[in-house]
Amino acid sequence: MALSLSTFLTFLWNGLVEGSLIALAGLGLTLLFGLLNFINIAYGEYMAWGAYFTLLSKVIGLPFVAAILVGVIGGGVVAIAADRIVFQNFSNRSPVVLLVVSIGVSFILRNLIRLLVPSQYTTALYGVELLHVPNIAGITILGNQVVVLMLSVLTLSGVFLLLNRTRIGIAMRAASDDTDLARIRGIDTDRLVIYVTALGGTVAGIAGIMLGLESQVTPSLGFTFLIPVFAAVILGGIGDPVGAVVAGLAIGIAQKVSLVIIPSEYTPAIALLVLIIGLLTRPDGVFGEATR
Amino acid sequence: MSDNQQFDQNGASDSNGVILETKDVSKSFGGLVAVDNVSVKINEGEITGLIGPNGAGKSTLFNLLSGFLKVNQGQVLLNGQDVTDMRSDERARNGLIRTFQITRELSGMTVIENMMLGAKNNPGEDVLATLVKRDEVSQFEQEKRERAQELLKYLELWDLRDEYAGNLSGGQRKLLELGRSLMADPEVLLLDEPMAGVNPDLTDHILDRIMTLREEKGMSFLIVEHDIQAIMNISDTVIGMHQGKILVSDEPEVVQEDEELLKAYLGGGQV
Repeated sequence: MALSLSTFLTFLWNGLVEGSLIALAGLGLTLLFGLLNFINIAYGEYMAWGAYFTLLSKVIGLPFVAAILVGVIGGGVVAIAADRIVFQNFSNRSPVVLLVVSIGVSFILRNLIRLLVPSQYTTALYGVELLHVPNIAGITILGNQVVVLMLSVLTLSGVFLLLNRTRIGIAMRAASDDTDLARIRGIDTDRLVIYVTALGGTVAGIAGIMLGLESQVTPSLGFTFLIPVFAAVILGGIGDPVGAVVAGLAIGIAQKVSLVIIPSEYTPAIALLVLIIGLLTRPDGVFGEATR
Repeated sequence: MSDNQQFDQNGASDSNGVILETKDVSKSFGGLVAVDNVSVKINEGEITGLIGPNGAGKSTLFNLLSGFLKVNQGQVLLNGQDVTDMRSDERARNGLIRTFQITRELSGMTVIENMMLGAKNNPGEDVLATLVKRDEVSQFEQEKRERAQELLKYLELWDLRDEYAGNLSGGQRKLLELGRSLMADPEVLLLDEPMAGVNPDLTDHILDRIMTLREEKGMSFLIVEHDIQAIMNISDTVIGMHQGKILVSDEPEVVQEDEELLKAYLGGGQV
């Protein structure tokens, strides 16, 4: 079957939107890894909680923009709560122990949604169309996709401005590069852990809300999205924010464009394929930062 | 001690001219006693050298003083105040700054950005202050940038200010580390092998700057160094360690002749 240009461009557009979501989620995860030095599986649940805070806020009658704000803050609050209640108690343990603990936290947070959220909303749609966009040259563009892309770009820009132009952001980068060095300079790394956790959780919240906008809100919304996000973080060079964003975009586009030739159930494998090819050709990550 | 309970920066305490002190400090790793019941005093405004053969316990003592390791027993006092339970970043904010044997610069940041990170108690690193005390944050930033520029000129790194730290030579990195430490206006500076891997011209430059800082600013130094001659030349007091214990602590001329220390080095070779 011949593939029309407009169909291919639609896949490409879908890939760009998907890639922006992976990039955003990858950025939050890599920021957390940079300072805390372990892979946090519960990150997917920070995303899910962000989505549910927004959904439930909308259900109780808040305007959708306000509901998004609640979700964003909610993601940060859940991340800080998990860090203070659980992860800080294991802060002197090895990354493997923390990884296993994070699997437990992930399980608990996911099931708390099932327990606390009224059953009619455990799988739900936001039911909003924020923009109406006409098809351009036969390319199918959904209004919510445009919103997702715009919010992703805005959030990514904001986080990079924070990291590069503010003293707090520079201190975060310093502590992420070398925690000991930050300590001997008197940088309060404990306070930074709270800031980075809040930032990572907030970014996860935004990614979760947008993922809900793109599909539907379910308790495992973030968990099932983790494979391409992890692939982006590893391919980008763990702890490297720019690398995570670039790799996220590449994986998203590869996943959607691959639908031209393979069935959708194989899409997660594409992320891993890109990861393997990427690591074979750029073993130190997209921009050469050593993968720890 | 909380961040707000910082010491009197004039050093008005019952320290009697001693800026940094350990009392009967010990540290073991499994069955190995790395530092064994050590009591040392670093006098205010002096350069104190710390020497000893490999495995003497110098680095462990450095880590105990700077808070990178916790003592098994004993006390660490800074300006007469007990800082034994204080974290390394809290000690740094109270005037105790250290460097590492292998320089640790933030290679992806420029020289001047690395210097700016050295400024302690930066209100810009606090979210609340950043939001509500913008003038204070901006003024602090301006003052510290001027200070960084001044120090870079003093250390002859000015021409490299916009270079990525990762591109500097080993000697230049040592100077950058010294500069970044000075940005914190330390009361006592712990230098871990500041001359290691540095060419002779830069070594003289670093030594000259250390001596000048001691003489003009009254800064106190504790220096671990394998270049024994250099340490003897610049130190007011030299501490000799071996197998986790202090063998001698005296003026350089006396330490040079210490029989026990001579034995510790190469079975009796010249110190």
